[in-house]
Amino acid sequence: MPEFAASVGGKYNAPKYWFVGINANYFGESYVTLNPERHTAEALDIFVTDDPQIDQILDQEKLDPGYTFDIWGGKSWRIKSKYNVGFTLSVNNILNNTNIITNGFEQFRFDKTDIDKFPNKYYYMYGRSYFLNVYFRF
Amino acid sequence: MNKNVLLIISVFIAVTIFFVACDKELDTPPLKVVDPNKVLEIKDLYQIQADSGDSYVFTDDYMLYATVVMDDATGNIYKEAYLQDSTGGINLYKLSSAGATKEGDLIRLNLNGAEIKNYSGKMELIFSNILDFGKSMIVQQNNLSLEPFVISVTDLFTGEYDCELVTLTGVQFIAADTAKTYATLGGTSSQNRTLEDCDGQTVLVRSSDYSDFAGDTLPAGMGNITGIATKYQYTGGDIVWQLIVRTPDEVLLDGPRCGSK
Repeated sequence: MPEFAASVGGKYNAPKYWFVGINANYFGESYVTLNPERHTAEALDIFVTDDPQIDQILDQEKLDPGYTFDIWGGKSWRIKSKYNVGFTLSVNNILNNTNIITNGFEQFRFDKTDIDKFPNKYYYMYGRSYFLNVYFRF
Repeated sequence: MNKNVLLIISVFIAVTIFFVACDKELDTPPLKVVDPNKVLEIKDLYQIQADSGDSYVFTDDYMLYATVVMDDATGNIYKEAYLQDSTGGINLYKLSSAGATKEGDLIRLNLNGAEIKNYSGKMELIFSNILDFGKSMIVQQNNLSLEPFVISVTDLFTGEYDCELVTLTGVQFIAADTAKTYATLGGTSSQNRTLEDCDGQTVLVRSSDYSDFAGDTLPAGMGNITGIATKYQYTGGDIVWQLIVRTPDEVLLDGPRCGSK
């Protein structure tokens, strides 16, 4: 999970009972979850300090930072000064950026004689998603 | 004590703990360090065999850094490899699995448990007692290109190139062999074909019936051929010089034969 996340946005409320907003989200300092076995003496007993595999086994992979944009808006109407009807629509990840790795983990299986045999697994960001909410208040 | 002072001190302590408590460096398990006195070169292995005779077995973590100049990918050798460093070449024999090494890899071999044997003139580093060769071999670099020694048949006969990658120049298969294939496709053994230079000095090209190119016809021209130089020494002392081809792509015998204009 990211260790650093920030979100900045703005919202405009119009006098005619509609509003629109945008949010920019940034997250970084993400690392994959470790497999503890890779950090045991047994996992490293065939290696020596100068072997290039040592860093590959021990280093915790840092994931690339990413950012997304979300927009949302809505409008409402007053009916007979008594009821209220309206909707809100939000679109997340409007750039449809699905290359962002949101999380990852080292597999819990490890072969010291072939350290790339079980590579890290990743979760990716959902693509553009929509949410529509229609309401009627009485 | 004033309440505000107490609050400030408490906040200060809390913030301090917050910042110093997180150790971002992960613990590293204890790692072995190579003892510089236990790093050997291939010439040292020849010397050990000369001093101790056959069947010398390493019982400690001695290390050898060398480059794989021939693997068993084409099937001309099986569960074997040839290694070379700046001091010589040696045969890795009976590894725990096929495809265990890759040509061009610089490897660190932990020799613990390995045996040295002079097999009729060919120096072997035997790992047949090692159940998982992958635990003895650690790849240091990939895709190194070791240039062969470009030599004549006369140079080969000096014995300075045993188990090393060489390119023999000015050679051709003898006329009796040019219609033959490298080996017998579908066979279960190895076959010898004879190379000669223009002075009539001969070298055997020994290929496995299991090799990918066993059924390929030998080229009839003269030129260069690249492979691993080995020899077979009979009990009486007679030596047969041999070449083990890595791939037919390195058999470039397409020039006019000796004596032809």
